Amino acid sequence: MEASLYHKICTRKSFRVQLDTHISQNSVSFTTPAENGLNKTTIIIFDYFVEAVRERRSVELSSSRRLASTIKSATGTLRGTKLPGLKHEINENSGFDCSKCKICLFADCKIFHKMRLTTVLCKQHIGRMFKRHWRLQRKRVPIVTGAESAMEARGIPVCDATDIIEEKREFVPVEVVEHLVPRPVPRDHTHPFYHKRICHMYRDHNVLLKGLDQGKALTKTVEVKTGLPMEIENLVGAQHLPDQDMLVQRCIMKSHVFDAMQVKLPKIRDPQRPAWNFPRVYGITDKRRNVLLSSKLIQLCEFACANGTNAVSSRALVQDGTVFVPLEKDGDLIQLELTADFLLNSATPLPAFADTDQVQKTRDIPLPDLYPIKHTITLEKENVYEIKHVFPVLQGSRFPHIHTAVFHYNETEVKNIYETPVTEEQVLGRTLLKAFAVAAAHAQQRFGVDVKDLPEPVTLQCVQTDGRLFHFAVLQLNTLDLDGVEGKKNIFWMLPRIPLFSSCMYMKGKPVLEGYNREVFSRLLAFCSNGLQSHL
Amino acid sequence: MGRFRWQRMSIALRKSTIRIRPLKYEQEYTETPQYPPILDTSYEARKRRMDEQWHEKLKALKTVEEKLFEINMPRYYGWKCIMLSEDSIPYNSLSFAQHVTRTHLGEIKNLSPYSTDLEEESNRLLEHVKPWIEEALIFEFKYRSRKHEYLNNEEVLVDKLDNIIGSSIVQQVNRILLGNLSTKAPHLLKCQVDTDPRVESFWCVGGMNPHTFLRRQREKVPWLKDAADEPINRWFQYLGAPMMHLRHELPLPAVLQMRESESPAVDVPFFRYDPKVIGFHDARQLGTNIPGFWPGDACEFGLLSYHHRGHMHRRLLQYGEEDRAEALHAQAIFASYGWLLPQACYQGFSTFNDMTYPLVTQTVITNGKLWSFYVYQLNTTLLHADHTSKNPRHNLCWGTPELKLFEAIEDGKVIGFNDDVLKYLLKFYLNAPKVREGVEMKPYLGDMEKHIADISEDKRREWLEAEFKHMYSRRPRHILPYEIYQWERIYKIRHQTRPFEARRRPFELQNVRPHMRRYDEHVPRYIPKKFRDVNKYKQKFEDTYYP
Repeated sequence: MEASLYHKICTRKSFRVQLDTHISQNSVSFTTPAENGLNKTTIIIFDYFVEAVRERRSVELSSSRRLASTIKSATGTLRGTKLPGLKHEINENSGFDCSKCKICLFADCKIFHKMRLTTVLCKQHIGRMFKRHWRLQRKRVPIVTGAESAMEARGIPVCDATDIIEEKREFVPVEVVEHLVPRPVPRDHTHPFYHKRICHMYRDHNVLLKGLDQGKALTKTVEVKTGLPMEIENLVGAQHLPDQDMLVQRCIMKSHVFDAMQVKLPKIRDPQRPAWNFPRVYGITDKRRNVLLSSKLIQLCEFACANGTNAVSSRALVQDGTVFVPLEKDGDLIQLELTADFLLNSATPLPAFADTDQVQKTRDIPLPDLYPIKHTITLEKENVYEIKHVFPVLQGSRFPHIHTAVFHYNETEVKNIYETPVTEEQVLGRTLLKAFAVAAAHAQQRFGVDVKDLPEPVTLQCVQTDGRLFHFAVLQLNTLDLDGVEGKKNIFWMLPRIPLFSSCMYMKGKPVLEGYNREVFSRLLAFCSNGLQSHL
Repeated sequence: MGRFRWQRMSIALRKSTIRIRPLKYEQEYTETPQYPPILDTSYEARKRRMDEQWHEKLKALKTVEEKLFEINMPRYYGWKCIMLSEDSIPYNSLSFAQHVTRTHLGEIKNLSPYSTDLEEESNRLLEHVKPWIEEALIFEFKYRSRKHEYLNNEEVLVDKLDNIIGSSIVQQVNRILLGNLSTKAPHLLKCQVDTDPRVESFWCVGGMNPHTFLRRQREKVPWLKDAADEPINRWFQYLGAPMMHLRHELPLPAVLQMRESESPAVDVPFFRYDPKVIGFHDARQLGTNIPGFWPGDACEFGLLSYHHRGHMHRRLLQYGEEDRAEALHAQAIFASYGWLLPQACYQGFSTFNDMTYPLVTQTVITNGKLWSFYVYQLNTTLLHADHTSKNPRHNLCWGTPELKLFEAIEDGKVIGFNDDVLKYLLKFYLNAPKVREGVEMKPYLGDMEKHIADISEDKRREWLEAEFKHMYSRRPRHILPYEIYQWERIYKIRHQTRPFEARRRPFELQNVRPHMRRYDEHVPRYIPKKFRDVNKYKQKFEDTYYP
């Protein structure tokens, strides 16, 4: 039986040989493509090949080892013969001990020594088909029909058909002015908001290098005494809610433990083992935790105040209020772009906590000396900015006066620009600057944007919280004239940070709240009930 | 130990070493023969018995979390479920919504507590609250500047804007109503207000037509050929996005008795088609039932939930007015059922173990100007298999069409204020939750162990807590699920171009179905030698406590 097949051998490592095979009883003669089928070398090959080819199925060898063993068994008859077009002489070893790889039998076969294509890419390899197609189609030989000479003999002119049929086109270059997806405007001197003068920006994620001291120097603020003003201290514990502690604890548990939010939290890093990958934790983000806790506590405060007068109706709650305040200080332009996470606005202004005498006395209190540091250090210097006066409540509303502001300290957002951890001082300084921004924005809205010495002081109570520690403070804004260290100054009262609890989490599978501190809520309640006292 | 069932070694049977003393004659024989019950051995009957056995197991589990865990146990990569989201409601999906929640839709107008007791009370309070609400509306619409106006230069889409303004109005309205009504309705003092809670629910519905793929598969199997068109169960996963909800320790009183929902007047349209025909899609995921908080929170029952309606801006105008109204109804039905079902799950019921008492919630869909109100009573959660046709109980929903709270705000005044809208809102807040007298609230939960936190065994409690949160975080499995690649579909399935290749992929093999892998089919966590217990030094793997 003789058969001529186009026969291929494939292996999984893209080892392919194309051979024209010729089969007789027990021998297969291969013709290598290189020799155009002229020099035939008969190779007596073992039964496996013969059987496969006789059944007209391609021989498939799924691993190099299998091929090597196949060759090994065939080498007995292959010894000493030399295939045309091959570099190796086949002997007992050369079949599978080639210098390049173990499976190379024919030197002109295509083996990808270096490339390790992925398994999936190798699964359907059409490169060979593509190459063959390219080889066949690369030269088109026009068939000589004799038509041209016949036409010429009759005197009919012959011209190229494309000259008549082809349309003459001129391509006009089109300039693409607008891209489908508008490109971001480069933040350089071509930007529409580019200014030559540098502006020092302070945003929610910034902290001041020197913390509270730098904040005082920057906002021209002094502390006249430690602790909060007496008016507020007197209000602590005046109001009370039935089951107050139970309700507050419930709020804490809900926002820290029982909220079902599960999102990826920031990666855990160990400085000792920087390459170690910890399992990613899913849970409540600090942002959501703080929003939930503050809104719930404010809600409870309003319940507690609702007994005497209508604390709800005379106030408006503004969430995520944006505040933009541009300021001039000692020849520097500073803009504060901050967020008041919760802002209680009331119909009547809060009374001033320091009378005019005390305000006058602030002239004698010195500001903290930062030398050799300048007060604008760690503020972001920018050339692309827009000077804006923004206050979340527009002019003319029924609730124009600021009352209490709650600021959130989200650990994942607030960072030092030098990658050092944020210190206690810096957190306190952040409260001052945020409170100042809200008060200043309100003052600029109320008394005009160019106001320097305020006709009447603006007072704001504020709380900064990271979900556990609460920083209570009060700011009385007397002046917006920040130049120099002389003259009237603003006044800041504050308490050190108080913990609401010591720990609140799942411990050994149980939700646990430990070390609850009732002082925090009563202080918050005192803030909220302030100003309602006169109606009682 | 193999990772998959098909890799497991067959276990050699050993002779039992237990010695049993032979019974005496009198003990072994009785006067009258006692035959075991004759069981139907048909394929369907055996399958049903297996299902029922599983449902009984679910019922017997003691804690809420274990019950929720067990529903996902049969599938390592989760169930293939139809995904329902709150903000995309396809055209003409009301009848579908009613069928898959078994809900009868009615009008709220003459509903008894809302038109009688609560009506009087709300009339009394209306004038007291109205001016403050008007003030809040003027403040929110005219005197607020919002973050999105300054922080990003891109234009905010209309639907997003609608949601932003809607939530801030709802926040104001909510605090005004809570503050003003807390003296009149003391239950409000103890309610919990949550913004943007995570509400998800997961349930099983029967009576749906099999999808084309399944029908073709059945036609190939000789003993399933005749039952190729038999209805199937489909799983549904609802992902809610309420802007705010109020919860309380006690449930709202039932509007109607459970029995009343069994009357023939209460009807539900039957929707048996593949939900893909109206535009829902399916995905494989582990089912989650979350009413916004983890089990263990004291305030377990919903009072009221507010929902966005920004997605209405994305609806095409050619759908028509009727479809707009129906879309809101469908949203409300899904939102209410999707919140009540997980609440019921926290009481120990499930989609396979029916409720013993009804639960009620109130739903508001609003953007500040347009308001729709719904009251929903959950009577049954049993919807799987033939319960869609045989279950006598129905869930009940009463709603209003969309109502305008006001026409416009001009010159600092609200023009055309609609008192009815505010009255509905007042009624919802005044509807006080009550103790259910003589009702066992958690019949299917353990006496002492109701939640994982109550389990006394430390190791088991910690393990269950961690695994439950891991399952519910919906993070991808450690080994990604098997999929048929596109090139395989083209060159191997549609056109068999590679007949000589070794058949190793699951779709080329017999009885290898990676998606049928059970949740516990994995090698337990390895214990390194230095951490092993001295007494159990041979124990290589940590214990697992799957329910």
